[in-house]
Amino acid sequence: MLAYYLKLAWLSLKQSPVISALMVLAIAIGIGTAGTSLTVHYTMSHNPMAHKDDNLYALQLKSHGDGHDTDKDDGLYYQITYQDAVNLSQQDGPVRQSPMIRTGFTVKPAKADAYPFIADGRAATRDFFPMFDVNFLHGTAWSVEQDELASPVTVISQSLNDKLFGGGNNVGKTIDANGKSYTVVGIVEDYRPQPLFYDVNNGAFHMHEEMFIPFSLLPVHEVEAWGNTNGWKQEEINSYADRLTSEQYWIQYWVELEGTEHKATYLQQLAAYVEQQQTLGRFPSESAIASLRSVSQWLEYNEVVSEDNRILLALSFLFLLVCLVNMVGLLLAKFLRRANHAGIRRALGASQGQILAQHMMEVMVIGVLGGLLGSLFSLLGLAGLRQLYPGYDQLARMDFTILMALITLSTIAALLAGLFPAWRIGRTNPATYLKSQ
Amino acid sequence: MFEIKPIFSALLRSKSGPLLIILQLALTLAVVANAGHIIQERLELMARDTGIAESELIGFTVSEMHMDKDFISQRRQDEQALRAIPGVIDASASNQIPLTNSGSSTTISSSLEENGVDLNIGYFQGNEHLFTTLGLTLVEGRAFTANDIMTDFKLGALPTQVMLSRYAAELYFPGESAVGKQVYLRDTPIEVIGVYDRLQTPWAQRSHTYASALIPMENASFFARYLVRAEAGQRDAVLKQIEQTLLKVDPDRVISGLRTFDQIRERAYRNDNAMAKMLGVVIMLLLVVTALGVVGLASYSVGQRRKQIGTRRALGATRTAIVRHFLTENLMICLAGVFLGSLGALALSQYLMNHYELTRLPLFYLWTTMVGLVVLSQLAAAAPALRAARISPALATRSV
Repeated sequence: MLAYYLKLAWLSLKQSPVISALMVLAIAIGIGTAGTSLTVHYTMSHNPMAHKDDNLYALQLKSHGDGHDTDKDDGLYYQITYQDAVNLSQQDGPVRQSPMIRTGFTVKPAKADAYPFIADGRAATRDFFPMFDVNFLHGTAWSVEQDELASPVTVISQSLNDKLFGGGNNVGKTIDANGKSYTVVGIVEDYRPQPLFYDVNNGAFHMHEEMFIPFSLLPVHEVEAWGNTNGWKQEEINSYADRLTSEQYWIQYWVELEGTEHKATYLQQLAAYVEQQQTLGRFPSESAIASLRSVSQWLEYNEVVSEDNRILLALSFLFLLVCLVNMVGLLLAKFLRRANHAGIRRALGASQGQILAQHMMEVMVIGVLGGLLGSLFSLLGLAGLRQLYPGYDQLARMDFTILMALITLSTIAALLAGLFPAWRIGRTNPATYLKSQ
Repeated sequence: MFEIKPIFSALLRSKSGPLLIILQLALTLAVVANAGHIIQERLELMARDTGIAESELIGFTVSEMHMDKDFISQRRQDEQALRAIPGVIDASASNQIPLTNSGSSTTISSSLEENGVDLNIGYFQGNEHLFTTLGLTLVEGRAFTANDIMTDFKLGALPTQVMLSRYAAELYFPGESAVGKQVYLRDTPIEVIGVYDRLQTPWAQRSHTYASALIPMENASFFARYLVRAEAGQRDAVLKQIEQTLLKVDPDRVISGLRTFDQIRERAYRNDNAMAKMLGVVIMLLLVVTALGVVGLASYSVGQRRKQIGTRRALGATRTAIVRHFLTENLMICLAGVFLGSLGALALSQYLMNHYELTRLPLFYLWTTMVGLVVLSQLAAAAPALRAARISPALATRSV
């Protein structure tokens, strides 16, 4: 029966090619626009650590006094102070934990005639790599001892390894960075989660990091932070050492816990820490708290999906709605023009439901065709986007999930649009049309 | 003349088609008016003047290799080398460049009292060459001279003198001259020695983007921005020589982000430009789809009424009368659509205002879009109406 309806649908489409093509085109344009913005939205709101959402948490502490407006609704800053970072990292509790900052290095290649270049970097503890699923190609993360002793060691990315050494296993070699020498202990696959969830300080879609060094090197090498620093208190900061003991926020802190229960226990531990610091005269606010946010909460909290993208998404779905309303009109015109066919079929014994099914099948064919063409339009739209935003290379890519989603969306949308016209035609009174034959 | 009543009752007899067009026109109006408004806002943002000699400027970043270098004397050597390039008017190192989205700002108050004006000021550090390199215009007071520049200072030292943008000066000291007055960085008083017309901060999208200041301190960190002002015709030739010139002074550093200011501006507004273009595409597609919808439905309605049209023609109606009938019908539908749509547009504008940083939709956009849509839909209905007028009166006699 379904195959028969499919055949009828195809015949009907061929019978009125212009209006059918218009309908396919209308829905394709709608799907194309919605698909383009949906793809960008999907990639932006993608959570690269979804599988660890109950395990990874960004840590915030309210160590500032009241009356300071932060960008966030809850009045917290998104980073913590260096002294808190050090204190917390000395406490046990989490499975893994790491204070971290984004930094950068002027790296000098060993070849005499080569000019130095900039490598993006990060200072963190050894826990960073297993915590965020970074894959090692050669070597390993630095050891616990190297973390504690602030050893000048580094883990580098594959791309930096290629640039400096032309590839291969170069564990044990040294790198000249910011005028200091670092020994390579590990080489990792380029780590570029989209978005770069663990540090959304300067936008969540910047370059991936190429050089990782132990966090404990901060006071030793006076490592500069390549991110924002937020101060809230009058402090005289004349040296790097002043900065380390200041109340300025400039360190990101991530912990890995075993799950939600562990999170509750750890929050208690943090509350105890806050109290302890208060007895020492810090954390002046009465509402001083510690907060843990999972990766998905963190992305949401930091509004990683841009406002423009949300507006475009909303407008493009309104646009899709216009295309659908348009299609309802065209379908109505098309179906009613052939009302006499339906009348005859009804007179020959077809039930209202069968007429409905037949026409819904036709609408479905239009929906699938529109979805296919619309996906093609989306690809064009994304190509256009990549022209407009050179930084969107990673972002504006369509995958199989999105493709299937678009075709499904298109089919459902078409079926919804077809419901009213098909119902109207199914309700046809056979007598009306038999009369005029 | 316009037979409004019979057309209206004819419309009421087959409601679904016209209702769909009304809905479609309403949605189109709501989206197009708001999208047009957003585009206009972005274009205005993109057209704002930085206040500097944009067509003559080149900017770039220098990252040093050795942390223990004497950065200030390095900067002076670099500036001298840059000024020696033929075609260069002036050159200066600073901590930031307008529109690059990266730099330093701090809160400065007009008074130590509670009621003082606080402003988040983007500050440009540099020596006496910075003012001329940027190409700023002095409004009152004076610019820094070599004697004013703090040469020997520690990290964290505060300036004692400042030049303010007119924007900042007027906010701090409304209706009076700022020159000679004090502003306060934390508890430290700083004397305002001059006011320049305009200088935009690195943050184009931030409010108070024109709240800027120049301070007479050279950049002593290992990372600096440089500005080179070249004669307009020489700019590209100068650009090519910069990297080699600086690496000749000292090869152990990295020159990055070497761009003319036009390129800096383009990067700064890339997202706004893209947003404007995307919304433009959405508007165009929407108008096309809507026009097609009108054509489709009008054709259908003509097709349905071939016999009646024939009858009217046979009874003496002129072709013009037939065309007028369909255009009037379309106009009535369209007016209902734009009426509903203007409510929709205002509702959408309200929604966008509540959820995003958008201003209220000016009525101008509503009116323009309404008129545009009426014209578009009349044009779209014209072809089917003309086709209707060609229906021969003889049709009325057939198959009755």
